[in-house]
Amino acid sequence: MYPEMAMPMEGRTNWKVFAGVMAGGVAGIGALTGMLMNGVVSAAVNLPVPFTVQASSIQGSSFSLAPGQVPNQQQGAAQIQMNGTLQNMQITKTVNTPLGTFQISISAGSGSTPVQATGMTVYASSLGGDTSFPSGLTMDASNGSMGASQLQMNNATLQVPYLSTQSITLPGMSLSIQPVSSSSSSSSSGQ
Amino acid sequence: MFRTLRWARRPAFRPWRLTRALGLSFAAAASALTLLPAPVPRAGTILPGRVPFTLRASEIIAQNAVISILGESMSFSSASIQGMSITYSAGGHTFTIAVNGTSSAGATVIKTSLFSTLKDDIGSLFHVQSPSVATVLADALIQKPIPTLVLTNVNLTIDTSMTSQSIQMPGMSLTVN
Repeated sequence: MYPEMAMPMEGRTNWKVFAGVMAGGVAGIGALTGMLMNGVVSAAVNLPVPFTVQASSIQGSSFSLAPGQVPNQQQGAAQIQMNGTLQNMQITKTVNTPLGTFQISISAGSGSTPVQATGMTVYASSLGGDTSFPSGLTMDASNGSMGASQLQMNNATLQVPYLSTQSITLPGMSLSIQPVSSSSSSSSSGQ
Repeated sequence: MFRTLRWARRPAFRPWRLTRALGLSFAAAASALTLLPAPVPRAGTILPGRVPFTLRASEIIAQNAVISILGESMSFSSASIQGMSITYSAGGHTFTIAVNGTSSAGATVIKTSLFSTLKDDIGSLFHVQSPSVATVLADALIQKPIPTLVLTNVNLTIDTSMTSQSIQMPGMSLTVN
């Protein structure tokens, strides 16, 4: 019987190595976030929580809408798939906490560079806006789907229980957290 | 005794005769099926296994409209649609697309089996304001274009398809219930 097998191994953390690795990781994440905010790189996003999307305009391509159900939920929703360019996009989410109710807002694409999303799948419980299909619209009763090569929406508002995109750029992204019932706020901007 | 022997001497049933008999039977069955009258849906019935849309509108003013009873379709070169909504049900939920304002559509083709029974049930699909109902039905039999067709209280179930080359929906909203 070897005595070292009965005793647990003891080790020590090399804090210098840990700090170096941690700093490198944080710097990498910061660089990626900065590039994402400036539209240099795009990221795949999967948001399985309900929120509201607003945009002054949405230009969509390869648009399809079909009756669907939110993944892992019983809630019915319109399943929208398209590639989109969103001008003045704002994502808002109201969160209840023990400290009060807060509204989290993410804004992007407010400047000359709009938000670009490809491979977007949106489950919308409602949507509204001035809508046109300039290149045609086909409604197929064999499966209840609607399809259009192009979509134009102005003053769009979508209630979205679930969203995923293959890639999205968020130029000029800013995040703000505001108490719903008071005027104090804290915010950080990527610009 | 002779008859029995004669039958016994006959050659056995050959395979090519069986093939020919089966082929003739198949051709006869196909001919009979072709000549059978096709089932015509009753007024107000739709094709099964579909997710039909219901197009409602308070008024549709369509230009160069062609209604075809035989082709079960309606087409027009352009139209303005007041009070438009499109409803369909799937998965236990009802999806409603409503337009707040006047919708403008370009060249459009609507196909639904309900047009086959138009002469029996036109009042349940829409009210014809202009031209007269008789004119619309007569033109629908020969697919004659109607320069300006005005319909009100449109409640049309579309069980095949609707294709529009362009359409504008101001104040569009989609809700799921």
